[in-house]
Amino acid sequence: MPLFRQKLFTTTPKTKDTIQALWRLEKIILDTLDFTEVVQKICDSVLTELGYLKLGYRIIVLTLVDQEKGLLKRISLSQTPEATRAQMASTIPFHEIEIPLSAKDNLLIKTLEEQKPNVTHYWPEIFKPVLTSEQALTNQKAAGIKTSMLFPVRVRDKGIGVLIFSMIKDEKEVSEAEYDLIQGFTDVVGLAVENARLYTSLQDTKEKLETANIRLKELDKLKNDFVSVASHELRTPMTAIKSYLWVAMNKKGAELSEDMKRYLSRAYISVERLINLVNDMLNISRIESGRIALKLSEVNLNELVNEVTEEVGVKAQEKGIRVIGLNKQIPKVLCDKDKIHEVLLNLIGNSLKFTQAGGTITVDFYEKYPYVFCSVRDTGVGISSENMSRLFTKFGRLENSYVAVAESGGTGLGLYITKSIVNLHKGQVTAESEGLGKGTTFTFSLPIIGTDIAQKLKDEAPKETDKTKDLEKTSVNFV
Amino acid sequence: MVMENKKILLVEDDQFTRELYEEVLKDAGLAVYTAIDGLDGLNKLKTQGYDLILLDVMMPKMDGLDVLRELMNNPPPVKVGPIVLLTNLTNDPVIDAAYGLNAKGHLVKSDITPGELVEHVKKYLQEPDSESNAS
Repeated sequence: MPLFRQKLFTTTPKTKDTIQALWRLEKIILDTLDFTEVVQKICDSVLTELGYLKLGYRIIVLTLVDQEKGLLKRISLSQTPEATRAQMASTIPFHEIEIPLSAKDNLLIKTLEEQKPNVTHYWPEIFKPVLTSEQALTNQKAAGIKTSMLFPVRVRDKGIGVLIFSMIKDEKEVSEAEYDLIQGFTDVVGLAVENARLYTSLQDTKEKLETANIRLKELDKLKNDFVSVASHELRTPMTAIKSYLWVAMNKKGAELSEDMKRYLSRAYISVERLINLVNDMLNISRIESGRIALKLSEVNLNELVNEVTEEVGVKAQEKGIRVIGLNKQIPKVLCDKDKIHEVLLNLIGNSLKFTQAGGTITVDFYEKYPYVFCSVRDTGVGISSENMSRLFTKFGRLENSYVAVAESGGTGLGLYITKSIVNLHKGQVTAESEGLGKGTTFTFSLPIIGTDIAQKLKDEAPKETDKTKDLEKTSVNFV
Repeated sequence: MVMENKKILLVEDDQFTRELYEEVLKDAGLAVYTAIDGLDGLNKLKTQGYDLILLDVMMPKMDGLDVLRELMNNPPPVKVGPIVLLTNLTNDPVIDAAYGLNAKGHLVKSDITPGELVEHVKKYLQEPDSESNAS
C-alpha cells in the first residue's frame, strides 16, 4: 500500500477540484446543526454529492466513541443498496454493533488509538468481538465489498471515532485526488460532529431550562396562592380568639383581678401580633409577585407628614414623646399617597417603639435632584453598627430589641415592607445611627415630579389590574 | 335611639364568631336572629324584613356575594333592609363587587373588636337610609 503510507499525514488538498469538492461537502455538513441530520449527511454526501458511487464506493459508516460506556458505536451509514444488503445479512442490527474500546485487536479501535488510517479486505477485523468471523464474512459477501478504508475522526487532536469507506475495488485503485478528498473530508467530519453535539446539547439544555423556568413560575404561584389561602383560613380562628379575649376583658359586671387582666391583655396583644404577621406576609407575597399596584399622584410631602404626625399624636403624647414635622420648601414628589402614608407611619411608629419618654422624633426634608429625601430622626436606643445590615431583612429583628417589639406588637417585617414600597417607587431607604443610645435616623427618597426618574416610575410602576390588590393593614399599630 | 326594636340578621358560618357577635349585639339591646350559611340566610330574608343584615362573605352552600346577587335578581316580597358585609380582608376585591350589588358597607372582622362591631352596627342603624327600612 505505497499510496497509503505516502499520504498518511497529508491533509492539505492538492488540486483546485478537490478544494472545491471539499468546500461543497463542508457546506452541506456544516449548514446543518441537528446531530441526527449531520451524521446522516456525513455518510451520504460523498456518495451522492460527489458521485463517488461511480468510483466504486458503496458503504460509508460513521462510528463514534461513547466514552461513558467505553464503546465505539455505529452511528450512521449511507443509504445505499449494498448497505441495506449488509444490514439484512447481519444477525445483529447495525446500531447494536458496539465495539468495546478494550478490543485492541479490532482494526477500528487500532485506527482510533493510533489516529492513523488503515485498510482491510477482511471484515472480521472490524467486527470482532461482536460478530464471529463467519458472520462478518457473510455480511461482507452480501454487500459485495472488497476493501474498507478506515480513517480516524478527530477533534483537536483527540480521536472521537472512525469513518469507514467500503468499496468494491482495491485500495490500489484509489486515486490521489480521491484519497486527498477523503482525508480532507474526515477532518471536517470531526468538526461537524462536535458542532452538532454542542448544538444538540445546547438545545437540550435550553429545553430543560425552559421546563425548569415554567416549573419555577408554577411553584411561585403555588406559594403565593398558599399564602393567600392560608392567611384567609388563619384569620377566622384568630379573629375568634381576639374577639373572645376582648369580651373576657370587657364583660360588664365581671371584675377581673389585676393578674387576670395582665394574662388576658398579653394573650390579646399576642393574637394581634399574629394577625399583623399574617397581614404582613400577605403584603410581602403581593409585593414580591407584583400584585401591588401604585396609584401615582403628585404629593406634597409636608402635608402628608402633618397628617401622619397628627395620627400618631395621641399615642406619642401618652408615651411622652414629641413628634415634630419640620415644614420646608420642597418640590412635590410622585408617589402612591396611601402607601407612602404607610411608610411614614411605619418609620415613625418604629421610632415610637424605641424611644423613651421625654424623647423627640423629628421629620425633616431636603432636596437632592432628582429626589426629595425625607428623614425620621429619633433620640431613642439607636442601633449598633453590626445590626445595621439586618434592619431591612425579613424577620431581621435585632436581638436587644425583642422585648420592645413584643410589647408593641411588631412583626419583624415592617421595615422590609417599608423598603419594598420605597423601592417600588424607585427610591431608597437608609438607616444611620451613631451607636447604641444615640438615636436613629431613617431616610427615604422619592422622585421629584417632572424628572426623568419620575417618568421612569410612571412607565414601570405596577399598574392596577383585576389581579392587583392593595396592602393589608400593616403592623403599625400602637397597642 | 331605641335599640330594643331593631332586628338584626347575622349570617355567619363560623359558630364561635356567630355566637359571640350574637351575644354582644343582644347585650347592646338588639333583637338578633342568626343564619349558619348563605342559603339559610337567604331563606330567612325571604320570609321577613330586618333593620340590618350582617353578611359574611366566605360561607358554605352559598357565599355572601351569591346571596346579594340572588336578592338583586329575585327580590323577595318582604323588605330586605340594609346589608353590611363581614369580611376578613382589608382590601378584599369582593368588597367592590359587593357595593355593586347593593351592599351598604363592610366591616373587617379581624380589624375590629366586638365593642367596635356594636358601635358600627349602631351607626348603621342610625343612618337615615335604614330608618325607612325600620318598622
